[in-house]
Amino acid sequence: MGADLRDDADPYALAHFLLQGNLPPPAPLVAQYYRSRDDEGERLSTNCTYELAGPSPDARWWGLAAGADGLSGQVTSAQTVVDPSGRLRIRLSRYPQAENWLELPDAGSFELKLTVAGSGTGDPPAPRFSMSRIEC
Amino acid sequence: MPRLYWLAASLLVAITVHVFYVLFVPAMALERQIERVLTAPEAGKFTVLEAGAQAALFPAFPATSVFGICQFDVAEKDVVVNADLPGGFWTLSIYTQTGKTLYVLNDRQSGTNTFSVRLTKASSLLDAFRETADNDIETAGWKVETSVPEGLAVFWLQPQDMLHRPRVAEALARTTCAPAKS
Repeated sequence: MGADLRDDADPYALAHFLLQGNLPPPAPLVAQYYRSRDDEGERLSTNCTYELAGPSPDARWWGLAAGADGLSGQVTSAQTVVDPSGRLRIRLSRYPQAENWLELPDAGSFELKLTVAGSGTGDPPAPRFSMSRIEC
Repeated sequence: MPRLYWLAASLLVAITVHVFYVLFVPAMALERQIERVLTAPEAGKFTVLEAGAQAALFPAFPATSVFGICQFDVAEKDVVVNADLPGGFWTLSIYTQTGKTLYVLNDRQSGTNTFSVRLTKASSLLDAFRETADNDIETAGWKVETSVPEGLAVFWLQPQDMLHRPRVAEALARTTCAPAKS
């Protein structure tokens, strides 16, 4: 997944959060990952439908948010279904999708934010998701 | 030669401005946001964030999350945070006013949902120069030594769904954050 802004001791990572008026996630228990492009390198657009796929993070809790303000759509580990092999697939679209669905905001480009909370015995696991564009 | 002088001077000014911007402007942005989201920001008052305030401070977290904040100042007196949290996943983070994490604890590390944390000023000059917090377990709970007097104590509780949220928020609202009696 894109940039890892876990280390709040890094003044640039810290500034990323503070300049937007946000508090950084409490490292090392919680990490946040950002992604603004798909696997082809294209900017994420709300006019398209995407599929996020990969092993479900081995974490206490995780939450995925889409949108500039993070409010447009959110799914969490408690709301998603994982297949028997432990693989997670989430469809991202403005329109309802079968199985796991993350609703996208109305228009424009968007950024995906993944928040992962570990158990406290080590760093939260880094996600390994692919992000493919299904249709636009 | 004068050209080299001006080049060096410009470079020095650019570096100074950059360092000032990275170190101070973000902290000022956070301070303004805290003043905006806490309707009555005062040291030693515990506040469970409303939905709008929560989205402003923690936009990547879902609406089901519950956050509670206390602004503390240990310059004059220690501050004691008393919590009796519902079962489930939670974290307590101590931040400096500039957004740096000093200390973090979760439900598994704590082993209990009823506890107290005493926030106190760092005792030695060495501690004052370290931008970290020391902590150890006392009989009454945890003690967190902070090198900077002012900061934020932030609780994050994550209920399973929206149905459980009011009950969790109600339990968190009973948390106290007040200057120590002795």
